[in-house]
Amino acid sequence: MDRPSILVENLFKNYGQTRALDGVDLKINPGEMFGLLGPNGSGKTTLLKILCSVLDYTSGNVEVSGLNVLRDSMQIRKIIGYVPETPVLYESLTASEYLDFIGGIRRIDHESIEKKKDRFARAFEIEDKMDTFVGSLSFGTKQKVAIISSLLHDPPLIIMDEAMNGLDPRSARILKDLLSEYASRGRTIIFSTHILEVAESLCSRLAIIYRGNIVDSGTPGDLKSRSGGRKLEDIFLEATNSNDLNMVVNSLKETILQ
Amino acid sequence: MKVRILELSRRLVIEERFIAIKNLPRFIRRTGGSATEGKRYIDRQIFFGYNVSVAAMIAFSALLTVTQVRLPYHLAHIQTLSLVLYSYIFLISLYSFLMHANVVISYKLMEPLKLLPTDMENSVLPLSWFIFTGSPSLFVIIPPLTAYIWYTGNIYSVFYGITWAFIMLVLGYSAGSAMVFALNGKNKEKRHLKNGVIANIVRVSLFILVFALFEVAMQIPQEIPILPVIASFPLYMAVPLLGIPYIVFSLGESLSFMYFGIAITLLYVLVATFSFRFINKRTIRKIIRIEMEQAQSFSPSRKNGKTGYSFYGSLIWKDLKTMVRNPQNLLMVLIPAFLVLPTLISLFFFSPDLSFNSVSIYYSMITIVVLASAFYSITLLMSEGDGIRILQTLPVRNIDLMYSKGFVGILLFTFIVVPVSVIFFLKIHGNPVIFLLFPVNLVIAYSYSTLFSLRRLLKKIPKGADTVNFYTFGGSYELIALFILSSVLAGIPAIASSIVQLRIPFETFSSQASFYLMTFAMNAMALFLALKLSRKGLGF
Ligand SMILES: Nc1ncnc2c1ncn2[C@@H]1O[C@H](COP(=O)(O)OP(=O)(O)O)[C@@H](O)[C@H]1O
Ligand SMILES: [Mg+2]
Repeated sequence: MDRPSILVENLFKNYGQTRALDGVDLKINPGEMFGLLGPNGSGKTTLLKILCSVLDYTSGNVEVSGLNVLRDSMQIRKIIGYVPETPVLYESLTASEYLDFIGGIRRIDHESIEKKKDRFARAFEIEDKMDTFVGSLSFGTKQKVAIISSLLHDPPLIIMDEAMNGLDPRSARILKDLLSEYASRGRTIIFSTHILEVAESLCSRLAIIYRGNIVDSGTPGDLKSRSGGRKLEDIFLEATNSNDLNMVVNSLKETILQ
Repeated sequence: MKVRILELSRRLVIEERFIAIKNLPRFIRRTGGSATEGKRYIDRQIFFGYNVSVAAMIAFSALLTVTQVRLPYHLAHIQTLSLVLYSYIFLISLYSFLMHANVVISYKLMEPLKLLPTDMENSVLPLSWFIFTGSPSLFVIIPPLTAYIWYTGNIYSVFYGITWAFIMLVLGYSAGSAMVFALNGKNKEKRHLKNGVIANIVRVSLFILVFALFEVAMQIPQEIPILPVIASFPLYMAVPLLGIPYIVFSLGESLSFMYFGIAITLLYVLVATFSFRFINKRTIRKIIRIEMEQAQSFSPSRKNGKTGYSFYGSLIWKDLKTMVRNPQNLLMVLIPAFLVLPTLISLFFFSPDLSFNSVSIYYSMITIVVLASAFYSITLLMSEGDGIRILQTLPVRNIDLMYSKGFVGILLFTFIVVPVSVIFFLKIHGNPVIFLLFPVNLVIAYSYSTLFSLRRLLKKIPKGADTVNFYTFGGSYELIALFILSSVLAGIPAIASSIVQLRIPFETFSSQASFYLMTFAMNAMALFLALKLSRKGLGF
């Protein structure tokens, strides 16, 4: 058995007095397509940032491919492709220049950057936008550029924070297929979403996070068969509106995981 | 309505600071993440910062005044000093507005206002600038005014002195607005990238030229060491800037002289008011439009031929491109040039005996090293803005940033220093050793000061930072700290060489060339040490 791609033990993160993560335990194996699902403010972004070693945590233990996120930060950044929640790019570079920049930093040779740029741009239908300044691109196009930039170095670990946001249906579909392809080749993929359908159709396993806690996890097979007749959307809305943790867990258990 | 505008002005200033410091561990620790505590913390910072600036202005000016009143003809010296101080108000007003506008534009701070059906933004921006950033510079005029009244009992000077301080402040604001207005170009849909860059550079050069004329004008009275006590003809008072000392300290005291002073003061009040009214609305409309249309005004003309750079190449090219293409960043990069080139131009034209004195010019060039290394280090990191989030997900270490940003700064600095050196060499007819070592020494001194400055600043950017701006580093304090740090660093080799020259009576040490050689040796050592030491303790 390989060592896990992600190992999180008893992870706490406080922003001042706000507790964003409240004792998270998580283990993700290589080749898994893992979905992190939860309502707004439940700690998804915080957790993903810590995995990427972008953010320090308060206490606990976090290992990524056997590397310590505090100590081996540079090593981890090399093996991760990260798409943040909102695309932040250099606005005064063109999309193409931006990808060249990322490629240069990741020490990828010219030809393969060119080849990948072409291929990805065609897949996401942004060939005609490649020489436009990022600052004048639409939100969705920026998101596409951010996604491409995270995949340029063919990372063994892909972390996407609500990457489907702002994508048109066609591109969302392409991204899903692409991610499935990556997963089938042994890459590990973790992404967060608050859209159950996305998680359901993609993931090999998912965890539900609420108020900084992983309240449950399971395979999509379980989820699917146990969701009964109720619409997933209703279940989700019920979970987000509830203020009581037990009620949420119970309702999720009743209707999704039983 | 008035209260709302004041409140909004304050909001703007709080916002500027909040986005910068919200992720700083110090801020989180002090406030525990509570919003009221956070607000109180920032309020305190603003209040404290304002008082420190006022105190610094008064102290700086008092120091200058004290040195002047001990001289013979001290009244005339106070007059000359006031000329410097009034132009200082103008320049500070201009720069601080540029800084303020830069942050407001980069973070779209006016965005919420333009959705509201009011035109409050026209007053909010100038007011927030005036109350929190611009007004401290008014205080520089107090010490010489006090001294003057102490000696002469002429209380009319209070009225004139304060009125003129306001006039200069408003003119500085208008000039700054004009620069923001002009540099942000016509918001036409498609403009070609190349033309855009060239147009930016042309505009900036024009500004430098105007400033050069301004400073040349300032230099004229300094050529005449003491201003004639009574103006030979009252029309002289009408000359922009030069007339101020006569009007404020109206020694003439003849009745016609006084009327004339009042008339000119009124005239300039009108000019200041008019220029403010004329430019302010336009600039603010443009700032809001920039926010809306963002970079749409640019569109590159053709496919970029060369692609792919090495690791450092990528970092450096990225910085150069974002600097040149973004008018806000370009202005920031050119601030040291604004400060320095005009002075040098006037020095060149008005100092007859440069050939004896290349060492003293070297010393004045160290000021440029100090200014540039502080400004560039801050600007290069500030230009990163939200981009810091990109860098924090990439395998880029702080050391890499220090070297790449340092290198870009050195490039920019070399651009300023080499032409200056050539001009001086032409004037000095000095020997080739000096010609070579003059710029080389300056560039080396710049290099190690900037390495240390960048190192200091990089350590202040917390992990998980959302953005970087002026206040990430602590705002004006940090700027002052960097000035002090780099004056010490860049000054030591030169001062040590001068001491050696004074103390060791050998012929070999006494020439100008040997000054440059000794300084070079020490600078080289300092650079070596800087390269060794600066990489330590930078984190990963
Ligand atoms: N920089 C920050 N400072 C203070 N609190 C924060 C910060 N970022 C996130 N939080 C808080 O942490 C919690 C989790 O946020 P986040 O991880 O962004 O949730 P999600 O991505 O699931 O919507 C929220 O309560 C949020 O308010
Ligand atoms: Mg989130």
